[in-house]
Amino acid sequence: MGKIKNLDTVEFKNVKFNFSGENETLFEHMNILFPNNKNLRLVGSTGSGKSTFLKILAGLELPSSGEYLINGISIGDLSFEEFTSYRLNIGFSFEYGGLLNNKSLKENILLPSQYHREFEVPGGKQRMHQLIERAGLKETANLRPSMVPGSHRKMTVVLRSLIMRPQLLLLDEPTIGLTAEGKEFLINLLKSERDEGYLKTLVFSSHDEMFCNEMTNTTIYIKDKKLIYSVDEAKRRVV
Amino acid sequence: MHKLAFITSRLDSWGAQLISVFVYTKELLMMTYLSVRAVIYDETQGLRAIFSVVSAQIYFTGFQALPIISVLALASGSIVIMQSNLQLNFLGGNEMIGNLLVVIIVREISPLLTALVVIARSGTAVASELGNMRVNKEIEALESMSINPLSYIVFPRLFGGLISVICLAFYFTLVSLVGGFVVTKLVHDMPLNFYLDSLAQAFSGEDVILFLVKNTFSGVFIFIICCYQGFSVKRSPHEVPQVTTKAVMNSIFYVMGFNLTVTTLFYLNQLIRLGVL
Repeated sequence: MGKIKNLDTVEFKNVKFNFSGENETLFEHMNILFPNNKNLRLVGSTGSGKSTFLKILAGLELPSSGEYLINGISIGDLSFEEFTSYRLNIGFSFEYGGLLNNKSLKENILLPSQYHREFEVPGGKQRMHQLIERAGLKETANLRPSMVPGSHRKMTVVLRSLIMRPQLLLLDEPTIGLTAEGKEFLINLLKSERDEGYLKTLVFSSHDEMFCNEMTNTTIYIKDKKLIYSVDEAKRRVV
Repeated sequence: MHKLAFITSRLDSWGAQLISVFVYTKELLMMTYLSVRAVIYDETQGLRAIFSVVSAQIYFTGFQALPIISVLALASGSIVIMQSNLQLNFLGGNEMIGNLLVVIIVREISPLLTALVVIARSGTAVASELGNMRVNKEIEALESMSINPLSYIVFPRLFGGLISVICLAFYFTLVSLVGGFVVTKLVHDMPLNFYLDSLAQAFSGEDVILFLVKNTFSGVFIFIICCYQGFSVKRSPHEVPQVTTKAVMNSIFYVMGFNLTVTTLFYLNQLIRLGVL
């Protein structure tokens, strides 16, 4: 087993989700083939399931029914070890939390590459040291998350999701708490990841106008527990 | 009729409780197996990262517990030696001091007190640490990085905890036998040669087996129970103290139950061998 070279197709087939022990369905009949080389913005009201949608894509939650397919293989049928070869191509950034509190910011960022040493991208560590400096984390890099400002924590989570140079990147409100410079840095970083051919698909949810304007190619809406692709249809449902 | 209904309802309740204990034990054993399996089969796992957590666990559970274990061992060793010596003097069986110490300290007090100290210090810490990690989404974060929490979180605590418990129990035994003698010597004259001869004659292979079995069980079960309870936190921080309390209660229950069972079986076996049963 090793790291899968390409995530050719990422697809939801009739996905339904409800939290275990709860009867209420969060969403259902989700069918989407995630397009390559696109930035998808996920839009929906509070509680519509945007974060859960991203977590399913990251393999942190499994659909209650339906299938989540990567390269035609249902990830529900894979063990943790088997899914690892796919997941190493997926980066995920949490909306809140997600940093190991007993490690410094730098250790947090470098943890995936240290743990999966054999799949480390050549020169990845050096590049990350440069990024830490450019992101303005140099002075706090050796401090633990509880000792640094929220903007540094947020930037750390986002940088960590990029260290293995994933093809599918999932960002849940990536700009919360970031300064204008931080947002600009992040936008440029994501664009360079795309230009260098590492990043294929970006799926994110964000309320930040600047980030959305710069990064959105396609918008998908979660409304009435379903995925809707066109703005017109989303507006019609609101009316 | 009412009495019968009462009895059957009580039996139902006890039966349900017994089944829940079996189910819980099965889940603990499954978690132990899966954590060991994760380390063996996870091809991408970083062994260096795992063993740095193991060494941290040994430092915290084993090394940092040495002062409290020393005090407990010294005090309990002195008490047992002084009391035994006094009682044996009355009975005229002073040469039995070694047997009594092996039975009381090596087989019983050392595994039990070590386990209780480890539960109080490290068990609570592990359960609350993992509970807080769950609340702060640290466990999910590990999964998102393809780091199996079973190999990165559970196994190092289990393995480090097991090594620590065995070493601490050995240290406890040593300090209570040697230190206890030194303290006793201050208040009561006891020849060293006599004491050492008596101990050497009393030790047998069975004592070593009993010592290892009890401490291995404590090491594994204390840490797997505390990890299991820590992982059972869903979302809210207020669950953390609740699961910590439950981890302590369950650990004590399992350690006491196992110690009692093993000792009972051991003595039944002794009685059978002596022809009493």
